[in-house]
Amino acid sequence: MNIIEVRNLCYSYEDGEPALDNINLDIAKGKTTAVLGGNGAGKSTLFLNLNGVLKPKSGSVYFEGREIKYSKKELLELRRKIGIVFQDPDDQLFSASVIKDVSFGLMKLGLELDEIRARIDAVVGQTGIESVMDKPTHALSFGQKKRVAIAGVLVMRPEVIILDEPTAGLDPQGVSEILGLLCDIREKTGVTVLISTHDIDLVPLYCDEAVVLDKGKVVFSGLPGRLFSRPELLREHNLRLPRINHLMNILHDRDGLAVDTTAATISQARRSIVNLVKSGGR
Amino acid sequence: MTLIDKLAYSSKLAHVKAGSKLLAALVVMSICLAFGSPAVSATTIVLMSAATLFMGGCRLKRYAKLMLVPMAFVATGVLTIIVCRLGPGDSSLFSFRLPGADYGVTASSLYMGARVMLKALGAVTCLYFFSLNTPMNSFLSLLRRRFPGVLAELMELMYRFIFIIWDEAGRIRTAQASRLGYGGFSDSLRSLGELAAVVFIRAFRRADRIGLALESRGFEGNFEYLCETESSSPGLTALTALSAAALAAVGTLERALK
Ligand SMILES: Nc1ncnc2c1ncn2[C@@H]1O[C@H](COP(=O)(O)OP(=O)(O)OP(=O)(O)O)[C@@H](O)[C@H]1O
Ligand SMILES: [Mg+2]
Repeated sequence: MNIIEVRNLCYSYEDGEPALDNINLDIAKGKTTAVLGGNGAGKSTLFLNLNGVLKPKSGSVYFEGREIKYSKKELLELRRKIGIVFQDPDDQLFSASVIKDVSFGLMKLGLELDEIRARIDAVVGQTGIESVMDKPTHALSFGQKKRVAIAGVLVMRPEVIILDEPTAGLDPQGVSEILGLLCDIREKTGVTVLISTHDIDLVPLYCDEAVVLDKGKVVFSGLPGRLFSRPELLREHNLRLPRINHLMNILHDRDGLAVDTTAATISQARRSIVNLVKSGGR
Repeated sequence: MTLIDKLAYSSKLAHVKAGSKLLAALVVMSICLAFGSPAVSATTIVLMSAATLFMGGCRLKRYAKLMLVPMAFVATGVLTIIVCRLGPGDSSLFSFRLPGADYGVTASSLYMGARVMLKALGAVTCLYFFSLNTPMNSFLSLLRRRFPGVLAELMELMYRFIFIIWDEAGRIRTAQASRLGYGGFSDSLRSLGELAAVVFIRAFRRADRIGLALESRGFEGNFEYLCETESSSPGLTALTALSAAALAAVGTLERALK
């Protein structure tokens, strides 16, 4: 089942250069999809087209099988279902008060005040921002702002969560906390997650699908494993292999070890190497 | 400005309702101004400073530094009251002659000056009590409850974006300085001009992106959200009443003694 489908989408900013060029894309429901690509590839622009904030110059976007019609009412409904965490939290956090920002949007869902408070408390705990609730936004560090921005989207319990470079600026522990949290939420609620990232090592760990953009075009779409079996494609589009994958390739090609070259995570690599050692190196 | 902002958030009274603090400040200030007597003013200064220092937990050194600013203003103003033109036969504590007339300090002008000075500083301590113990966020929430609508929202956004733009300007300045932008005088002028231009362009762009972000979050033209929970403080209300009574008593006593 695809929750979002994009057909022949083109988009260009005022300067006329096409930022997105004939995009065709299926986003699977309940999966985590990585959107990869170098700087200026069009990732952020694509995301804004998905929730209807930017209107395609041509082509169409389907949400749950229905074409987006860009009427005011429908757009509000759509944005309630698709939450975006922006690349720069200073763009997203409009309020100087953390609680005001997190509760923004939630107030419009017509919930009881108790329910609102319960949801906020839960998300504040999940994202680990208890200690900054009393601080003004401008006194937070970049990573703390990012967490607040993520919390503001999570409280809405959207059906699709889009994160534009969620890990940039987070400390290593923060990265695994946030992505782990997203995985948990996805398991519990079946939410669909879209992540753009420059950190390719995260992809084998957390993502089920991968999409590669370059100069506004989709140049790959499919399983991460398939993507990592084509290093030349990655290089051509300013990307690289995950480190572990790269290591396994070197062990295989240069050292002649019969390791599993598709292993991309530490645990896969470990299993392959342990097996190899146990079987006597053959 | 950022110092006062920081102090307010770290005050021990930060979570007390902004309304009760405003009430305390206004009540005490009106009594202080209404009596205008040195004794009442001095009592106000002691009471309100004590409240900020002990209840709010502001450090004495910081507070003293902050008090120096209005003190300097008030002192220059008061100087013109203390030094007055002397009539023939006026007894003065100190006098000097300028072409045309004698000027000097008399006992009554000194008393007048002290009275005005104390009164002004009394009012300042009241205002400081409010502004050093009330975070802007909580003040804005109060504003919002009293004056719903675009004014409070505008102030909220301005308060947020002052800091974003301030940060941005700081970063650009650092970048310029690291590339030797502020060497000589003419260098500095040019760099400053560029800084202003860049900050302007960036602010413009950012406004664009913020618009996109707000739209993505379902913004419909009005801001609705939950405000901070604030505790009402019966202690503060009681203290306000007590202070008001004490001040009134001091004032009446002083009048009776005259
Ligand atoms: N507001 C804008 N006005 C004009 N052109 C823009 C604007 N935003 C982006 N572009 C252009 O559109 C193209 C795609 O930009 P986009 O921000 O989508 O890239 P991205 O993949 O998100 O890059 P990054 O990894 O740097 O975030 C770029 O060529 C960029 O110059
Ligand atoms: Mg981007």
